[in-house]
Amino acid sequence: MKTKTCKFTFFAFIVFFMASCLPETNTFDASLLIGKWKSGTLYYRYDTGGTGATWDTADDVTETEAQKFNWTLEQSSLTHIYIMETGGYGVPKIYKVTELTATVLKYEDEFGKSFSFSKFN
Amino acid sequence: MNKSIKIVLISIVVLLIAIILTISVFLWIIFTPAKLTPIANKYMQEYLTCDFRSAETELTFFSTFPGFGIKIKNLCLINPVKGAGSDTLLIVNKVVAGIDIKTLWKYNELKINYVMLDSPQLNAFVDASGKSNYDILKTDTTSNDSSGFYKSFSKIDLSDMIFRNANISYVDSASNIFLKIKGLNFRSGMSVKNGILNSKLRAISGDVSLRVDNTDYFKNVAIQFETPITYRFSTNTFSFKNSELKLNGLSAVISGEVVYHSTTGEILTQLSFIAGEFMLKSLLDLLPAEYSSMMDGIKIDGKIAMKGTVSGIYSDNSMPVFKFILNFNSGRAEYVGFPLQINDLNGNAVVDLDFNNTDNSKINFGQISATAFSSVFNGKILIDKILSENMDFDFDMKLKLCLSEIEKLIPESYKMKLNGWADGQFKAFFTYNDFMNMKLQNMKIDAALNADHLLISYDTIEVNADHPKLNFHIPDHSNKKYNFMNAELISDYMHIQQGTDTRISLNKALIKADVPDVLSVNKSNTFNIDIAAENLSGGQTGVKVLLNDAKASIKTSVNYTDSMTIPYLFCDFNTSKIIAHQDSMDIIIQQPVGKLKMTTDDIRSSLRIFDIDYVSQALTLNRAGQRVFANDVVFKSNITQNLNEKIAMLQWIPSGYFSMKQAKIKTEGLKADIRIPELQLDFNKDSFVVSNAKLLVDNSDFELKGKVWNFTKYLKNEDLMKGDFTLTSKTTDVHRIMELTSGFGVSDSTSALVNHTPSPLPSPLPLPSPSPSPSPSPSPSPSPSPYIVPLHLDINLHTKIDSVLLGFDYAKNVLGDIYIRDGILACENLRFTTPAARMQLSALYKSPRKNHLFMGLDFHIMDMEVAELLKMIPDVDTIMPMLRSFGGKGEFHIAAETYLDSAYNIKKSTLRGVSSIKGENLVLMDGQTFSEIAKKLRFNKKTENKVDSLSAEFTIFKNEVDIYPFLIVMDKYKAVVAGRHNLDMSFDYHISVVDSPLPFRLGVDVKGTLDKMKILPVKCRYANLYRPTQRREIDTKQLEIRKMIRDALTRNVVQ
Repeated sequence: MKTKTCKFTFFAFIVFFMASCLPETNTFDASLLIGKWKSGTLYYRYDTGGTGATWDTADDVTETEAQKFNWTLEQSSLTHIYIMETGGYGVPKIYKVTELTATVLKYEDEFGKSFSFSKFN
Repeated sequence: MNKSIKIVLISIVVLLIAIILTISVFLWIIFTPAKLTPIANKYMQEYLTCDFRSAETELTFFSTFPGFGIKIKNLCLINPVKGAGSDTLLIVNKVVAGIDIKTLWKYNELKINYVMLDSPQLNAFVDASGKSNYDILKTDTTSNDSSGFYKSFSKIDLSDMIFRNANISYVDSASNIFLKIKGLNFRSGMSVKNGILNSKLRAISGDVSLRVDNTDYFKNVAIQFETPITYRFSTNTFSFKNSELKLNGLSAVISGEVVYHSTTGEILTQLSFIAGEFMLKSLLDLLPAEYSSMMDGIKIDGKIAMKGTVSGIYSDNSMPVFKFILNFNSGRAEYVGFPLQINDLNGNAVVDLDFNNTDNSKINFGQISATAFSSVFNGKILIDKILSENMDFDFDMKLKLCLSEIEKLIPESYKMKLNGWADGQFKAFFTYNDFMNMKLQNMKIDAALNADHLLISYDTIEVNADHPKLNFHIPDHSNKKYNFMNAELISDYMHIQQGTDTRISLNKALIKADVPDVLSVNKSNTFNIDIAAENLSGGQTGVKVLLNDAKASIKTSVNYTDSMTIPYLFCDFNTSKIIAHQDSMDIIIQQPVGKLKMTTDDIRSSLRIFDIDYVSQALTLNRAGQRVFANDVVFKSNITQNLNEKIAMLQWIPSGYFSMKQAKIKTEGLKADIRIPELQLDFNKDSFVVSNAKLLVDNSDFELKGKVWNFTKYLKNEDLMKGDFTLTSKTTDVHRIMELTSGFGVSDSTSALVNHTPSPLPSPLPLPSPSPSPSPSPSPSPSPSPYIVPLHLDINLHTKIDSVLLGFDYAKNVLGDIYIRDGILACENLRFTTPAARMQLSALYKSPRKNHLFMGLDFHIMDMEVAELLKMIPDVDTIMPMLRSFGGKGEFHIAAETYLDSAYNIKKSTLRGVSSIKGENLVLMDGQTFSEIAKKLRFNKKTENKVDSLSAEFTIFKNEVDIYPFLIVMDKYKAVVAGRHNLDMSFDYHISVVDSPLPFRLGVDVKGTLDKMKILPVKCRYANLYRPTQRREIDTKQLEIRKMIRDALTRNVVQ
């Protein structure tokens, strides 16, 4: 009983202090996104006007066959809404940008999965 | 000895001595050469106009016993004429003339009784002007008779004239006649009385040559001629009667007259002759070279008996007409280049030779028989115009032919072989040139032949027939339209084979053919062929066809010299049964009747028109366990081909219809028959109409109606091909059909994938296997071709199915459209109702390229039982495994799409999807999971595993399924659940307990896999999600996304 009480107290303490932590907020320049980014065989192309396209050559997909998406970058929140050809539905994906330079783009999703791209022409 | 007798004998001897002494006195004392020679010269000078020389003239008695004679030695008559080869007309060793000694004694005149010339050499010559060197007798101008010759002979009674070993040369430059007679022994008895010379001639020469106009009529011919001749001076007529003539041993008896017209120079002949039997070759050897050259290459011989006549005028421009009547036997003939040698030639013939008009010359074999190797011929032959370069042949023969020998007559270039026997009647009329050039179209041939063991092979085609009867007529007399040949072949059995593959056999066959002159130019040649056979069987390698009671009539018209002219074809066929076999396939057709017609438009010759009219009763097709049966098959069509149309497909303008009734299809693997009670298709140049197509499979029924149109614009790339069909069904038992078709088409061998192209479409959402596998997975076997959606098509299929049976369930009122539209195959808002749910499905398939196929769906299930959903669509469990733990009613919406490779493997990088699920009063079905959670969260032990409400949205992106935060109300807890589920079945969920008996908010992370799951208490991430005033910005965004997803998904639901 005593052991259980200790565990619960510790669990409650952790929860309480974790709740008080707020994430830092960075702001990135969206214009740096414009262009083509590559990570292995995966390609992203950010166009002006918030549109873009992605393709993966490992799946034998070329740029002309790339799937379209809309994107927004607000502060560090990068949102991709992939436009489905079926019914025009949108598939949203939200990432947190951790680094955006002229040549490097890194972001991660809320499940901790990170992505790293390098820019190319 | 009696004295008186002795006295008589002595007296006679004395008398003889006295006579001899007297004669000797005459010969050697009174009529000495010295006395006689001047007398003879005087007479010769009196009668002759030419110079002459002689050695001496003497009187003879003993050598001319019993009369006296005058012998002139070395007589030479000289009468030079310009152009003659010699100025000497005659040289004679000695001339002995019998004389009347009494006249000589009393009147000192020379009266000659006979003349004998020993070894005379006569050189007679007539120059071009007609002047001759033998015109040497003086004319008696005192006589009224103008004939000097006659006057001269009034004192000469030549009862006998003899030439011994005479050599005669006669050259007539005016008539172009050259005659040479060597070694002539000639004797004639002549008497002239009342202007008629009666003579008996006998002439023998071993070497006579006669050339007239450069034609050698005789050349070194041995001639023996013995005849009485009467010469009438007034008419210059020679008459012969039973004159015997031998030419090189060939004897003939000649009678008749020869008249010489001195004014015109013409000789009129009217002779007849009878020749004994002789060898034909001997006669042919006598032919002048000019005529024998026509026999070049011909070797002909045999025994021949001949009689005939020679009548008509011989002159510079005329020849008498010859007529020969021949009887011949044991003849033989051969011709160089003609491979058959004719033997045992027997018969008779009449030969007419008219050198004035060669067309009148002919040989008429009234009756002839012959053999050629084993072949036998007999009948009549007329060879007309034999002196022309193009003879006419007219045969009327009975033949018995050994065809292997007749084969030699056929040029090798024809590559034709014959065998067997043929006998029958053969009539033919043709010219020599047509025969040599094998111009059959110019010949007239009628034949009625019975063959035995007939074998004909031409190139790779071989025809065998046991006892065929062949009748043919060239030209065709029966119908002028087919004016070349009419042929009829009747055979109990006939076998035709081409190479080793193709063969046709006919029993009780009758084939009739009317054939035109195929070589005629600028003419449409029409063939008419009728074929009838009790049984006709044929085949190639792996193919067999049998026709019972087959009848076919074929008419075709072709202009071989004009490739632009379109052939005409008409085929009318009718059989009681067709049985065909190819490899593992058998076809049986009862009573097929049809017509095929191919014509040209009368006005527009570029239009070829096909008319097809086919009807059959029962049709049965068996193939490797598959059986198709159809009744009352009808196919009628009019198809026009426009040769001026550049687009190949547009050249064809069809119209017509196809129908069949009570058809049945039975296939191995399909456990029920497919029945087609009725099928009717109509088509024309721009549309194809399914007027009625009914299909029954077990307890399922289908009816298809509709049409496809716009062919023309489609083919011109001006518009899409459009189609609109309606599929209606009262009952579609999907479960039964799946049962029936289970394993259908799948063989045990691993080659199944390789063999079927294209592959069927993928299932609506071919989700990848849960186990991780590289994508796309390289296929070790060759990739099958995927289904490629055709471009430029706009085909709609409206479905209306009253009841779809799904085994455990059923669907009602299945409504919706399926269409192919310019490269897109889509199913749009297909709606149906099942006891478990009301559903709506839209699906999309595109094939921009073989290894890049698009598949998308938009699926909505309303009023569903969750468990039924999972049964119906097990793939949903992959996307949202937690659903497996719930029971109850709800609604489910999902839209997903992906690209696939050619083997229909998902390209994961392209997988996209959104889904929404909503339920109330759901029950947690998985007790173990509930117990786990209840234990951790200290649920009331009496709490039911019931979820009051559930509303969740999730997205699919690549291999990630993101579940957006949703609220679950259960017991005294309210929890927000969110997380990610990966397609490899790993997950990362967060549960925020936002309302509970606890004084604080609690969070739980559930991570790992189902086999290795970790549950960890963490910070409550969504504490204020459903408290608008305290909601974080990110929470708000997530709720907006959820709403966006749900609104979008539900917006497409048709109520």
